[in-house]
Amino acid sequence: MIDGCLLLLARAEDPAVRVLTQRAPDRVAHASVEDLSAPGWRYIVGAPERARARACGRTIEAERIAAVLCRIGRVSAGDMETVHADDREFAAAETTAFLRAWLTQFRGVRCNEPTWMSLAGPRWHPLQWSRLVTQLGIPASVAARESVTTIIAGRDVFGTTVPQLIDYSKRIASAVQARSLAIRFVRNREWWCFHSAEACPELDELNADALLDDLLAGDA
Amino acid sequence: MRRQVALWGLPADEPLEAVRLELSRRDVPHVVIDQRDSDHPVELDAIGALYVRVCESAPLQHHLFAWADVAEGLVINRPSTMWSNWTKPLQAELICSHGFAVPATLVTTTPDDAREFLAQYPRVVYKAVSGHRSVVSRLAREDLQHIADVATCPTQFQEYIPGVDWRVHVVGDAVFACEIHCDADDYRLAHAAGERVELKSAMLPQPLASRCRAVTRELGLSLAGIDLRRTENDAWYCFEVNTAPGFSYFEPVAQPIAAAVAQLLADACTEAAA
Repeated sequence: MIDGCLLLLARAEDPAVRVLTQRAPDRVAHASVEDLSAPGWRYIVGAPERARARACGRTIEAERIAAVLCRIGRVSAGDMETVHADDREFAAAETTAFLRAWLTQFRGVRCNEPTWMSLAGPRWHPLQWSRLVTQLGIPASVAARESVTTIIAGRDVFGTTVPQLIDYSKRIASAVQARSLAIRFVRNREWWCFHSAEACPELDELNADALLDDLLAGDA
Repeated sequence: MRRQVALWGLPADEPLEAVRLELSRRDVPHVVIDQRDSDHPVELDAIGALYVRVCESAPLQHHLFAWADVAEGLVINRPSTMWSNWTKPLQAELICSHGFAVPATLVTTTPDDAREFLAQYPRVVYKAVSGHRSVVSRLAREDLQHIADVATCPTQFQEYIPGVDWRVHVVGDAVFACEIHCDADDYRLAHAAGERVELKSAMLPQPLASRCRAVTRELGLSLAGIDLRRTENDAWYCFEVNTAPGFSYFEPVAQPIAAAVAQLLADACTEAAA
């Protein structure tokens, strides 16, 4: 693994792991849930330069990591197979809390800013989304006669050529500090409205390349 | 529209009941929303101010939880402002930025890191990273034989700071402080262990009170329970800012915290109705 890698926190069964590691095998370090319950992680209050992670079964100094993409919203008891069954809920809560601290302290590029509800970014209730898009001047609706889902990957928007939806998508992604996001819009008569958003979109070859280019820009 | 104060949590919860009594004394219209009763309709438009004391172990009305975060009136405290207490080392960084000393803190899954930390400090405690209530325990020599267990779960180690505990509650701009004299590592559990705990109302030095107000405000809170420790050398360490403090324990030593919370809610409710 060369310096300036992408730390990818994701469950092994997440298809994004295969897509991203195939596109950049030397640049993507995959940390699975097994890596979360193994020696290597370190966080020191006030010392981000001394942080460490564990990925692909090895310890990595945080300073060697250019960017982090977390696709785990929260660690669940089911992820803690190496822990005694009675302690799994507690261990999952502790690991989630640890990761939130680790991600927030990390000084490189965070793909999606962790939120209080999810380590993976904005995984909000419809009420919270509705308030946000209203503040941005974007109408919200639940009606779905016609719908389009856009994918934010870095600075690019995939899935539409409609200028208004590209503009809406970029504004929403910027407001929630996310570089990886799927946003569903629906049309009410002439108006496109926000419907919902998902912090861990499916990745294909095209948008995975755009995301990797953006996250690893300047660190090749 | 006639607005009322809503109290959301478990009716038997002591702080919630204390605030309810204070609202009753003031003839402030209020309603208790039992978090276990998900079928009971709640008229959100009629809520002028909300006190959130939900308990993690009971079911939660997710819609109401989200509403509490976006509602226009006063919410003590909004869910999105309470999260810092669910990630204690991260909160320590925020506390540090407000000029409080914080103990040296390591969270690790690496046994060698833990051993190095233990060699560096004469006395060390370990405690939960998340909002799970756990016992703060001093690490004993016999614990070292289990140190390899940290590999399975990130474990927080902290330099032990000797001194006198202070608990400070901030309610809006009001500050209530008390000293806690106790020999146990964790005074909250001392009674159960048969150890003596003495609470004494105290006046916090003005610069410290201002700092407590500032950190409370910065975290977006209207109510906070701040755990401080004053050392022999007059250094003030801050361990934690509790975002849903169980303040009833401290009220018997002239700490009218429930009254202050009720007044804050009542004033906000009046303002919302105007």
